[in-house]
Amino acid sequence: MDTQAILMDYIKKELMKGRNVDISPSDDLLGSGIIDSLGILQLVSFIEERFNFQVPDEDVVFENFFSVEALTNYLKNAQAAA
Amino acid sequence: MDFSWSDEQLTYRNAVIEFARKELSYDVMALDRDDQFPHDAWKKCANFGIQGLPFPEEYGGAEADIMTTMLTMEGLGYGCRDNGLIFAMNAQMWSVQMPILSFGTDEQKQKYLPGMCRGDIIGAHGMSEPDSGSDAYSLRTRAERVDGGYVLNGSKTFVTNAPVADVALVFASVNPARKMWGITGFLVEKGTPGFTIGKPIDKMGLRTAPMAELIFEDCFIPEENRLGPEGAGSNIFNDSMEWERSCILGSHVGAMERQIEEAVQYANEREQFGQSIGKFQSVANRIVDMKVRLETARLLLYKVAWLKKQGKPAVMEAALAKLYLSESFVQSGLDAIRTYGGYGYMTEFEVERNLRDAVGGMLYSGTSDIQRNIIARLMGL
Repeated sequence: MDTQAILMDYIKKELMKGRNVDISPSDDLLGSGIIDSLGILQLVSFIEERFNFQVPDEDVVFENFFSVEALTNYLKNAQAAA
Repeated sequence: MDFSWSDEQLTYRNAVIEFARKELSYDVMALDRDDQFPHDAWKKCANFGIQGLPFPEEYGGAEADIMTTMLTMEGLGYGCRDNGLIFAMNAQMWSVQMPILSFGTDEQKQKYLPGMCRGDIIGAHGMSEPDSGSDAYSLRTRAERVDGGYVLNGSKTFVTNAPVADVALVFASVNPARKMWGITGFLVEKGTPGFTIGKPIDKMGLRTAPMAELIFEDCFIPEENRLGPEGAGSNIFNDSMEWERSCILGSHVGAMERQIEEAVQYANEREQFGQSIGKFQSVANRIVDMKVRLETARLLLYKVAWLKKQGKPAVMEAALAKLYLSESFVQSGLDAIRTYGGYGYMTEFEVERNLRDAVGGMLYSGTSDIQRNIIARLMGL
């Protein structure tokens, strides 16, 4: 699976457990209620373990975590720069 | 699994216990009764190195790791009877100093950290509002972007250290539509036009840690006083909560240990029906339960610190430790009073104050209900 598919899979299976809502990679994760602030914390923990990449505190911002698409781009760029 | 501490770590713990017994043995009862902040003790702690413990040497700190820091705070809780002073120091160290170290610019670090480590600058942390407590990210304080900075409007409540603070780390939204992504941290200095500190708030316990409201009315904050990027406020807040939970709970462990030792001593000395009350199983069993709670709480806490030292996530473990330890401190306080009987209920025996101080622990840094919500979610419920 590529990064986007891994993130979509985690969000659907772990963070949206029990909720039958379709999401697309461009959906606003927080604004549309797909996940909440605790979900963001879980997502950061998941990324750090699954991709073996420490997300710097200052990178946990709207621009990088707005959607799965934004997060995928952020991870691609951040990992390339690391 | 290695449960041992290094000689250096134990030296820190023992040194702080000795320091606390020698230098912090003031009349806490009188300060508690009068809601007085112990300025001298704050300064003595800074001179000893408490406020600078985990901070880099270049800012006046000792660069101790989280395990050593937590163990030292445990020693402070054991040796110092003033839970309010310890709470006030924790409020500054983890909720103001650590965010400045993690998110601040070089200028912000140079401006505030050395003074805070020396005890010359006191910091406060403003997050809670009259209408947003557990739902912290629904805060109403606004930061409107203007030329050269921001204009803050709103208020903060339950702000520890506010009446004595020189600077406050305050959270406001630059974009309410973005919810938690709009929350941003600002360093607001005492005396800034439009910034006022309300009258001290009287409370049940931790009375030597002063508390007040912060009020912002068209308060201009220059851009260089923003902490971290716009929208990083929620992460600053979460980051500080993990440190705070680890270290403030460490002092609870120390206080509970002292409480148990004193309860054992009293139970052995106090005689009723021709024998020491500790010989009655109902009394002995109660003290045994205090000990079981202490040791299980200690293990939960050490695991959190160990995970953080490894750089691993500890959201679930921190919530478990916060929930169990804060509730255990309350139960330990009640059990101590039951052991002392009527004397435990009297202020002059300094037993009841621990219970009053402990109750706050079920509320600050995330209530017990919120900790249960976090644990349930992480369990997949």
